[in-house]
Amino acid sequence: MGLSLHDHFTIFFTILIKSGLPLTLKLVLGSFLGACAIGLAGGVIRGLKIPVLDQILGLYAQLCRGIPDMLVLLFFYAVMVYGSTYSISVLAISVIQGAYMQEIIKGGILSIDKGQWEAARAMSLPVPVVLFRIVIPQVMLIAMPALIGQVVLLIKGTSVASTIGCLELTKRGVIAMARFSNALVVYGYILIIFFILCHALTMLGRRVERKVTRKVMGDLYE
Amino acid sequence: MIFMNDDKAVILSLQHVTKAFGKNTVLDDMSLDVREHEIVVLCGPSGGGKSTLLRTINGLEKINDGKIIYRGEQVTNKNIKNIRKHIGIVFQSFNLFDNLTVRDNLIIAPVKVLKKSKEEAIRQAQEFMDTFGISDKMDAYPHQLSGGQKQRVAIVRAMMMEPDIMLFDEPTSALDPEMIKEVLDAIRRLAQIGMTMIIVTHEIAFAKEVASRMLFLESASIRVDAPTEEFFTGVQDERLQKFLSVILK
Ligand SMILES: Nc1ncnc2c1ncn2[C@@H]1O[C@H](COP(=O)(O)OP(=O)(O)OP(=O)(O)O)[C@@H](O)[C@H]1O
Ligand SMILES: [Mg+2]
Repeated sequence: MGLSLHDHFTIFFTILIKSGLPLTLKLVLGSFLGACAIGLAGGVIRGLKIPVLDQILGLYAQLCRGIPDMLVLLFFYAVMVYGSTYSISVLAISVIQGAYMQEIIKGGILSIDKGQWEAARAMSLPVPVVLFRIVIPQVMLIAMPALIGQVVLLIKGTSVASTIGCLELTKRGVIAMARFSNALVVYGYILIIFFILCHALTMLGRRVERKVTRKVMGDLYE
Repeated sequence: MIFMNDDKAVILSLQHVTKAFGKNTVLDDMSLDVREHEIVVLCGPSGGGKSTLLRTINGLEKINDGKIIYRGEQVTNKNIKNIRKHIGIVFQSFNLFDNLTVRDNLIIAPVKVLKKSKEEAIRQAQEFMDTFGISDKMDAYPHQLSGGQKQRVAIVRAMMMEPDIMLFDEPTSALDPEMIKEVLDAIRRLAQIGMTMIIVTHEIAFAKEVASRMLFLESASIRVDAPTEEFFTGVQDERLQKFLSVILK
């Protein structure tokens, strides 16, 4: 079945770009912030090996990595009494992606050589000062590539929100299929949009990485 | 050279200190007094416990038994944070903060811990940097410095806390030969101003020159503790002779 140029326009611009994309971007932004908050807090706690909490967060990370994203989302959807499909999706994706970010940041903190911690301890520098002025900036530098990679996964992962009826890109596509029944075109456009999003982020990430490096380590750092 | 003087106040006293890592006893019933203006040099074979001794003095390692007394006050978990401010330590591997400029490396602790004003701390830092001949490096990052420069910055950083005593753990052993002198000169300067120091080093000629007292640490104990002259000429100790003959060759 052939699609007219007008149909292409309707699918690509009216349905996907104008209606679907904004919500996908909102999902990305919301769960990015949520995941960063969880990841930073959890990563610091695990990096400092704070007893009990460290073990609990370890279990949390293992669970999130072991359970399919869709199941986590469905679980939140089932137990949450309040909240739109959007906010439930943001929460679920934040929790899932936060677990990965936590592990990345924990790894970064553990990779900062013990010597700097000791020098700080020997001068009685308070732990929060050491963390925020010395350790975390260096962790950002080390963990940046992994974190950017994770954000790409986060972007792709937002499509899971379609399963609970959140009207983001994928869901819009599924609905459009009923009208146009041309999977190649409809899903093809979605694929292209996601690809562009992720590619743009990767490019942006490289530039940010260079900026961060210069900010953290000064010029001429290889 | 400053000779041991019993009238001077004891700054630091270790009494029957024992430290073990699991079953491995690293410091076995060690006792040691350090008096004001004394320069104590520790030497001994690898694994003898020299680093551990310095680290316990600074509270970087907990002791299992015995006491450490700093100016008459026994060091406890509670007061260690406070006492540490008066004890500077310089590590073999510099341990500068990689993401801070030299200036920030130097002023962060005085500002955050001693509550000095930033201007005052910078002024003081500048003065020390001048003294050690690296005043042009204030804006550099650690990765832009040579090893010798890094270690001098580390010394200044410790000095910025206005310590009562300085601990050095093999401060030159990670350096190329041409940089060793710069760092030893910096330590000589501290000796000239009467800084009390405990130095772990294999630079025996330097030790002979600055030390008021020499300690030979071997298998978890202080085997020899003698004024410098006597240490090199008058002590009859088979293990020490063997160690010296290896290191002086
Ligand atoms: N954190 C640690 N955990 C377990 N064992 C340790 C630890 N630190 C040191 N040791 C052990 O303690 C002993 C003394 O080590 P220390 O580093 O104090 O020796 P050292 O005299 O400084 O040696 P070197 O000249 O090689 O620096 C060694 O047997 C070492 O393996
Ligand atoms: Mg050592």
